[in-house]
Amino acid sequence: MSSRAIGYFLARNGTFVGCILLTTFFYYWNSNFLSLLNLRNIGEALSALGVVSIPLALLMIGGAVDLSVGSVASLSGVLAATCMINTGSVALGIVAGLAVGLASGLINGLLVSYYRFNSIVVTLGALSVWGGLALNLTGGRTVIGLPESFTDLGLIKLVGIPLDVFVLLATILYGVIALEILPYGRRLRAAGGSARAAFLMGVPVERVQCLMFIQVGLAAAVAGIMLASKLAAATPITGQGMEINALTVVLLGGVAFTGGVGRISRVVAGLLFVGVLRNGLVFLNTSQFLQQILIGLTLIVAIIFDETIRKLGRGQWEEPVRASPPECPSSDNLRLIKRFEKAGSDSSGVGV
Amino acid sequence: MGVNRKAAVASPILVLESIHVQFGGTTALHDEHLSVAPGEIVGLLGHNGAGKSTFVNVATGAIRPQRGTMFVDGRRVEILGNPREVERVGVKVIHQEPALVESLSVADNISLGRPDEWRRPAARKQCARKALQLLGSAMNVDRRVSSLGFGERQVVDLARALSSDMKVLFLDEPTGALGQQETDHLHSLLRRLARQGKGIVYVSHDLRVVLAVCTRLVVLRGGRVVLNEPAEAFNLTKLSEALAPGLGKAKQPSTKAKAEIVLEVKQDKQLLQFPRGEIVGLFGMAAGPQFHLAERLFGVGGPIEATLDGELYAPSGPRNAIRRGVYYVSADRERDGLLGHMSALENLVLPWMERHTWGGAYSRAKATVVFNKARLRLNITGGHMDGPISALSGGNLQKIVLGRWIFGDRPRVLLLSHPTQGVDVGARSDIAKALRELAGDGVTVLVSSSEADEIELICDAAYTCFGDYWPRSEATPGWAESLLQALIEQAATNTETRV
Repeated sequence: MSSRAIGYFLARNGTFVGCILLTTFFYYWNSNFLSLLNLRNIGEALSALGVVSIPLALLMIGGAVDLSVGSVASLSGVLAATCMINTGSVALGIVAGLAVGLASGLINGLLVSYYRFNSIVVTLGALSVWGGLALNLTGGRTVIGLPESFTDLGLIKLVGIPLDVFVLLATILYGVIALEILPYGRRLRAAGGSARAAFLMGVPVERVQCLMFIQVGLAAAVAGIMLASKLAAATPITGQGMEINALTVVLLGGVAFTGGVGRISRVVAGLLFVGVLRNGLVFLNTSQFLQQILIGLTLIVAIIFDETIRKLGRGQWEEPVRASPPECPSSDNLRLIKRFEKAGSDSSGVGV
Repeated sequence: MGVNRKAAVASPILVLESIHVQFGGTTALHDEHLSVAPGEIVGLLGHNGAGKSTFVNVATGAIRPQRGTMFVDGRRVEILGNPREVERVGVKVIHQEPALVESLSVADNISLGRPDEWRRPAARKQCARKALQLLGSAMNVDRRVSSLGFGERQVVDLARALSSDMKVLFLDEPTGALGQQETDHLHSLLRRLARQGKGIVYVSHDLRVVLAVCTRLVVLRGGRVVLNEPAEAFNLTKLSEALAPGLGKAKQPSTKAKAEIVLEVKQDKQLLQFPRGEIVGLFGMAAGPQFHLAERLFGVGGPIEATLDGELYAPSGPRNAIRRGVYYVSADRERDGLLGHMSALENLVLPWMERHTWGGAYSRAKATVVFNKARLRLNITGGHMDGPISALSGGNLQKIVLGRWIFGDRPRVLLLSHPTQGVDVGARSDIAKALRELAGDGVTVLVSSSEADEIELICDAAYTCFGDYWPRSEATPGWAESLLQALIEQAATNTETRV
C-alpha cells in the first residue's frame, strides 16, 4: 500500500484504530477489561449518551447543531417521573416525557430551519430555558418514589444484554438506515453540505432539517427517561453536560460542523472510544478529574490527526492526471490548474 | 493624442516574454508577448478560450506558465505564479466583482493586508483619502462598504490598488455590472491614471467600451496574438472583423414544422414564445436580465407571468418547478449546481432519489443505470462514480449537472445559464450535441448567455435582451456577430433615449 492509501484508510477509520489500540492497552494492563461483565458495564454506561449522539450526528451532517439535548433529557426525565407518581401510569409518564422532546425539537426546527436563526444561538437559549423549567418544576429537588414497574425496566435483560443496550443498538440501526439506506440520508447530506444547491435540486431543505431536530429532541427525551429508570430517580440536572459529551462523541466520529460529511460507523467508534477510555481509566484507578482532561485532550488530538491524515489521503479518488481531458483556462478551475502544474508539463500538446 | 506619443517614447513598464501555458493537452498561450508602456491603456480582446484570461492570470501570478519571463520596469522578476509577490512589485488586478470586506469601513478595506495595516487609524485614513484623491473622489473613508453602490465599490477597489506602489493595473471585465454613468466615470479615472504614467491593461468583451477607452488593442485568438495595433485605426466593424474573421460557419437547420408553443413568458409588454423542440437563446449583457428571467422561471428570485402548455405557470419554488418538468442549470456551477462533498453518482441522481429505490431503500444499482447512460451519452471521462465530485474537471462537472436534468427525467423545459462556461472545447461540442438530441426529442431549451458564440453554437433562435423590447433573430451564418451588433445598437439607442 502506498502512503497515500494508508493515509486514506486512516482518515476513514482512524477512530476505529484508536479504539482498538486503546482496548489492547487496557486489556494488556488488566485482562478483566474484556470480561463479559465489564463489556456490559461499558455498554450500559454508554447507552443514554449513544441514544443522543447518533441523532445529533445526523443533525450535524444536516448542517445544524442542538445544544439543548441535556436540558431536554433532564426535563423529560423529571416530567415523566412526576407524571407517573401523580397518575400512577407508567405509560402516561413516558408519553409526557416524549412530548417534551417533541416540543423541543419542533421549536428548534421551526426557529432554525424555517426562520433561519443560527442553531447554536437558538439551542443555547433552549438549553437554558428547558434546564430552568426542570429546576422550577421540581424546586431543584430529586423526584423519587417511582413505580417499580418503571424502575425495573432498567433491569430487564434479553440474552444477558440489558434493555438499555438494546435501545442503543436500535438507535444505531436507525441511524444507519436513515443516513445510508433511505433516500432521506442523501437529502440530509445535500442540505447540510450545500444548502443552496440542494434547494435548487428540489430538496425540501427546511423540512429535512426540521425533521432531524424533532428526532434529536425525541432521542434526548428517551435518554432522559432511560436515565430516570436506571437511577430510580429523576434529578433536574441529570442531563447536565450531556450536550458536551454527545458533541465530543460526534466530533470524534469525524462529523464536521460544516455539515454534509460523516458516517454512523465512525460515530459508533467515537462512542466506543469515549466508553472504553472512561471505563479503562477506572481500571487504572485514576481520578475522575483526570478522565475529563484526557477525553478533552483526545478530542483535540483526534481533530489535529484527522486533518493531517485527510490531507495525506486526499487524492485517493483523483484520476491520473494525464487521463483527464484538456481544460481551457478560466478563473474557476485554478484548483485544477494547480494539479496540472504539480504533475509537470510533460503531457503531449495537442493544440487548440 | 498626447498620451499616445508619450507611450511610444517611454520604455515599457511591464513586459511578458514568450509566455507559454499549457493545460493538459491544450495550449492556452503559444509563446506570446505582451508589453505595456507607461500611459498606455491596452485593450485585451478575444473570445472565450482565446487566452486573454490566461494572460491576465499569468501576469498577476494566479497561474505559473510552463515557459516565459516577466520584466517590471526593465528588471526581470522570477516570481511568476506568486500573486502576493507580483502585487508587491506593483502589478495589480481588479476583477468584475470588487473583492472587498463588506463589514469594514472604506479606510479599513484600503489598508487591509497592506503594510500600513498596523499604523494608527488616523494615518490609515489619511492614506486612504490620498488614494481616493488620486481618483478624484472625496468619499468619506469611515463609511462601511456595505452602504456603497457598485460604482463606488469599484472606486474603493481601485484606490486599494493605488494605495501601495502601483505600476501596472489589470482590469478584468470591469464594467460588467456597471451602469453607463459609472462606466464613463471609471473610464475617466483610467485616463487620469494613464496620464500619471501607469500602465493599464483592460480586458473586455464589450467592443464599444474598449474602443472608447483604449489606446492600443491586442487581439488573441486560439492562444495567439493576432493583432497588436494602436486603437485609432479601428472602428466597430473593423474590430469585430479582426476578432472573428469569416465567422460564418454553416449550421444545419433543424428540421421541423411549425412547432407548437410550449412556454410563453410575459416580459414587459412583450410575449416571449418558446416552441417545442427548439433551442432558444436569451442573449444580453453580462449580468443582464436574461439570467434573472431563467431564475424566475425556476421559481427563484421573484414572480413571473407565464404559461406552460397553455396552463398558468407560476412556480412557487424549485420543487414546484421540477414537478412541472422545468429544470434549471445555474451559471454558478460551484455554488448552485454541485454538492461538493458528495459523490459524482449522488450528484447526478439527487433530485430523483425516490425513483432509485428498491422497497424504500436507496438502490445504487438503479442509480448506476442512469449514471452510465449519462456517461455514455455525454462522454463523461475520468473520475470515479463513487469518488468525490471534486476529482472531476470543469467540463465533466458541467456534464454531470446537465446529465442530472437530462437523464434523470425527461424535461419539458430546460433552462440553462451559460451552459458551456469554463468548459473545454471538446466538452463544449459534447454538450451542444446532447442538447441538440434533446431538442430533437421535443424538449424546449432556453439558453441564457452573454456570449454570442455560445448562442451561435447551441441555439436555433435568440432574443436579444436589452431594454423594453427584445427582438428575436433566427440562426444565420455570422450570427454571433450580428447578435453582438444588435445588442450594442440597442444599448446605444436605449441610452440615447434615456438621456
